[in-house]
Amino acid sequence: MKKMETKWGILLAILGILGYFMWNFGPMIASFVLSFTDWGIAGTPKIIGLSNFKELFDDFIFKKSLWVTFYFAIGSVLSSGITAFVCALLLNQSFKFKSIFRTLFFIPAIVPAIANAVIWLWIFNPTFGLLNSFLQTLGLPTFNWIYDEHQVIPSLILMSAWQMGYIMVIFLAGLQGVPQQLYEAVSVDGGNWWHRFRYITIPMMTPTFFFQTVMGLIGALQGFVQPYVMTNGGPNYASTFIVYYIYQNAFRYGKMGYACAISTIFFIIILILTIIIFKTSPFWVYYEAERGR
Amino acid sequence: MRLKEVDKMKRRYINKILLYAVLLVSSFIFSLPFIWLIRSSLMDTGQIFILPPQWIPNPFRWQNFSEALSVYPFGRYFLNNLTIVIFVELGVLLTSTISAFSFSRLRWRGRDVIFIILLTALMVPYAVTLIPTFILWKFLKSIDTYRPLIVPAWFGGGIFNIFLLRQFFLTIPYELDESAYIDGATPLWVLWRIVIPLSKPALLTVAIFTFLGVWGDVLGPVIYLNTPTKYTLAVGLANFVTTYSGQWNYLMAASLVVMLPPLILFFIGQRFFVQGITLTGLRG
Amino acid sequence: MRKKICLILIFSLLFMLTLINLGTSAVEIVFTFWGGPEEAKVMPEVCKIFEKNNPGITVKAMHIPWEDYIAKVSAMLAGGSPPTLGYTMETIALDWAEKGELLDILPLIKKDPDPAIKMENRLPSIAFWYDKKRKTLGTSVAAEVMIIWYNKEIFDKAGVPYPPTDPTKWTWKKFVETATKLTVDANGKHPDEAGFDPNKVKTWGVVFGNWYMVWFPFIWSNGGDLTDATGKVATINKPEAVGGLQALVDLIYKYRVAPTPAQLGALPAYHIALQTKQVAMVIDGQWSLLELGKLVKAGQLKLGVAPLPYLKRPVTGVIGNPIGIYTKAVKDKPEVLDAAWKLYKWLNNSETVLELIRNGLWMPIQKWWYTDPEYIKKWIGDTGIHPPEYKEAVIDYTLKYAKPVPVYYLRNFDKINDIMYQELSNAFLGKISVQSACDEIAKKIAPLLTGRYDK
Repeated sequence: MKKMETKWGILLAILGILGYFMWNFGPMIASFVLSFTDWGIAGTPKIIGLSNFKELFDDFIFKKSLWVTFYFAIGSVLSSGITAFVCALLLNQSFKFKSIFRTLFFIPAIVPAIANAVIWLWIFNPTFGLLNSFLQTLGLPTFNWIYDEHQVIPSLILMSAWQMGYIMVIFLAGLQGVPQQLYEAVSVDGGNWWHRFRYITIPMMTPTFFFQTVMGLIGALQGFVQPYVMTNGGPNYASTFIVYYIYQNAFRYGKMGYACAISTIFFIIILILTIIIFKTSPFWVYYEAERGR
Repeated sequence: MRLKEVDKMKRRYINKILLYAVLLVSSFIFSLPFIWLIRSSLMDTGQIFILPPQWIPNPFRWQNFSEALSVYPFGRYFLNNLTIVIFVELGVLLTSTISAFSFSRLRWRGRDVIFIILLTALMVPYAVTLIPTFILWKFLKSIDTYRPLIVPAWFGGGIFNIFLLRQFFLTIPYELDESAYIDGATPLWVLWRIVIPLSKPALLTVAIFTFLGVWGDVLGPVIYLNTPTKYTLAVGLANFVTTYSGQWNYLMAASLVVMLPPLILFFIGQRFFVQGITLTGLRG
Repeated sequence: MRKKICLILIFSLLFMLTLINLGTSAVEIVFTFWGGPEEAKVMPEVCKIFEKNNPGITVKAMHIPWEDYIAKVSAMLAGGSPPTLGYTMETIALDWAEKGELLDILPLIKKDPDPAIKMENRLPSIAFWYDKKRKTLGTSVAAEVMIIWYNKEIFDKAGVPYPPTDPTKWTWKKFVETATKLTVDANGKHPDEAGFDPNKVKTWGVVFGNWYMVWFPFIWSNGGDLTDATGKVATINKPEAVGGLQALVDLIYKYRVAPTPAQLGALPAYHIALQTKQVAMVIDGQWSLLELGKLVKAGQLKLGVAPLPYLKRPVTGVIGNPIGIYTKAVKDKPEVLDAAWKLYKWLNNSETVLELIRNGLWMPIQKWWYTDPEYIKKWIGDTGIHPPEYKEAVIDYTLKYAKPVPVYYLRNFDKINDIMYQELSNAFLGKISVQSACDEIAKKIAPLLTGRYDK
């Protein structure tokens, strides 16, 4: 049995592994090697050892962007995750026009990125934007949103919550996977919706939550479009995400080697974080198929 | 007895009303930018940015659509999109399924370590891998073809999809597999006959995301394609905006049209998001 | 039998003809560019006319979306197959030239008798020199200056005289007075009247973006500069430079004739804002004439143009990206170099791109367009969009008072510019003083000030 499993296991995984080594591994190694060079795309790379890393140590923009990126990533994963889960629960019930409502909730994920940026610039506008107009009609204080260095990250976190369509769909799929029998069993035993939620839904959803935590973090930490299209990394570096700074160095400042050095450090951080999350998973993730261990 | 029933009915009725109220308000909030998109697509660029916003175009510029779609050959782009998306979908659905199956329901040495190694592919930003990847494809003589956009889909379809399916597969009880193996089934049979039928929502999710990924990808086509007739819809949209100006009304109109296929597909697809699997009746 | 011989003869003839065709294969060159729909339409047309005039050369004109232009061209370059020639971002052009990726065209210019290509016949302010002025990339493919566009109707209604077209007469004091008279809130009050509400402004006197093409003319006008003449010492925090930036910030918070950055975000694009009378004057680039002109032609805007006001001396900034020829594409390939050079000359001779000049997007680069009445007529005659003040306020102004922004000569300007933008953002939001922002800038750009390309 074990031999068959090993044989089939490797056989079925071979394409994925091959794909990694063909399209990902090479470029990753290349960028790692480049972090020890000084290269501006123009000209030839010049090996400079650890100079890039020494420079990073003193780079105030790099340090600020690390803080900014993590602040945003954690906030974004939480806000979009919670919003997505609530919406998925809502849309998992049976009622009329379910299809239409689900599609409406998902629309933000389909709006093309450029149009999306323009729309949100309007929403965030302090003078006439949607958010401030709404707050004013309720008599609540207004904000400067992306025009204030202390409010720009919370604003972007809010924007993430609205763009939770993808995550909501994943959670919906996860909810579908919970066997109906389990809910019925709880009802038969006299439990109410809270018991069903606490003892069936949540545990059965932990594999999906695990996925979202890992992927959500990896994705949010690499946010790029917001500073690139909406805020230019400001005000006062407050929305300079790491990947944005990497892009600037790679293509605009002529410092591809330096950009690769930043990526290397960033990669190590993300990898360690991911491994930690994986290692903690036995404590909170429940897999019906114990084969996951 | 009767009072209790009436009470229960009343409560259910109120719950339903509450539910609809919440749904209506939330969906209005979520679709507001979409409404903004629609009204902008029917306006002159000048009107789009006047604040406070005008919600009714005046006049209705229906010609935005015909004009926007004729600035660049969007018909051609649509055919290109179709070509790419069909091959990518097939590749992703086939190869990510078998990969995820291997990582979740078969035990073999080094499996989990290799999984994390595959995950590292997502941890390096594109800005630094762009050029080495480009050089790789140049070496494979694939510049100005669709190969860089399609071939990786056939090699696992991306660790994102493999991870997603793996998590989902892990929620299916292993007893089902076990009994099949006892009866002499091969893993492929188990995959095809047991796991896949129980994973429709997850597979649909992967299909939808893959579709959206192809539909919205600008960077891939721009970097690898040199012939304008091979461009895709996303590239066409990107061309409406430059450093100093943009033809926003055309961008909005064209965006709306480009959004329609994914929207319709999602609407149809999510019907298959049906609650619950049954554990009984799976003798096979 | 006779039929068979005939067929064989015909086929051999055809075969020989194809051989002849193969023998004279055309040279293909690749030209990359970015731009909106107008450029996307005109550039390939210009290339087609070039092909007609130069049989034997085919041009593949590649239009690449702006947002990914640098990534794509970098990939092509690093991958060993750069375009033959193309637009190059002005912020990276000299770096690539110095590293040998772009061709130094000075030797080619010296050999070529064509007067349009000579550096001395082009505007000196738009030249890209490097290697201590021994090498050059040529000039920007088009010139663009900063000026003031204004809505004449607003001036008429308020009874305010139009700005002078003579740059020496447009003093800062007069400028602020004009703007004050034109700024009006929802209750009809001006900024110098009691009860003026800056949160309810109906028309702004003047509007400007927060970027280097706006900062530098005023820094210079006040007698200051980013660095000293060597490009190695920061002078941005000296009183003259600070004063120039302070003047801009004062327009927002002291004189209240200009919107805050947040309020600016609420305004539509400049040409719309002018037309809908939300702003009276705009400090903007000449290129806006493309969109403004459409409104003028439709009779929806009475457009006026004026030079920038001056603090201590009149000056404006000029900008424009160059076209670079890629060394790797022409090395050891004399026919390709020849074809590339011919196209380079074609595109850099403003005569061939006249359509983009007459529709207001570009300004020409040869000097005679600014001095010869016949050429001036070709430029602005009967276009229906260039205001009557254009000759004095733009053409003469550019010739006499345009100064190149640091992107033409300063190393690391792109990163320095980003630092300036971030540090000044809080000054323009009114949160910190301009002096403290400039002190921070001076401190942070010190390691980046490694000198100039042309010295």
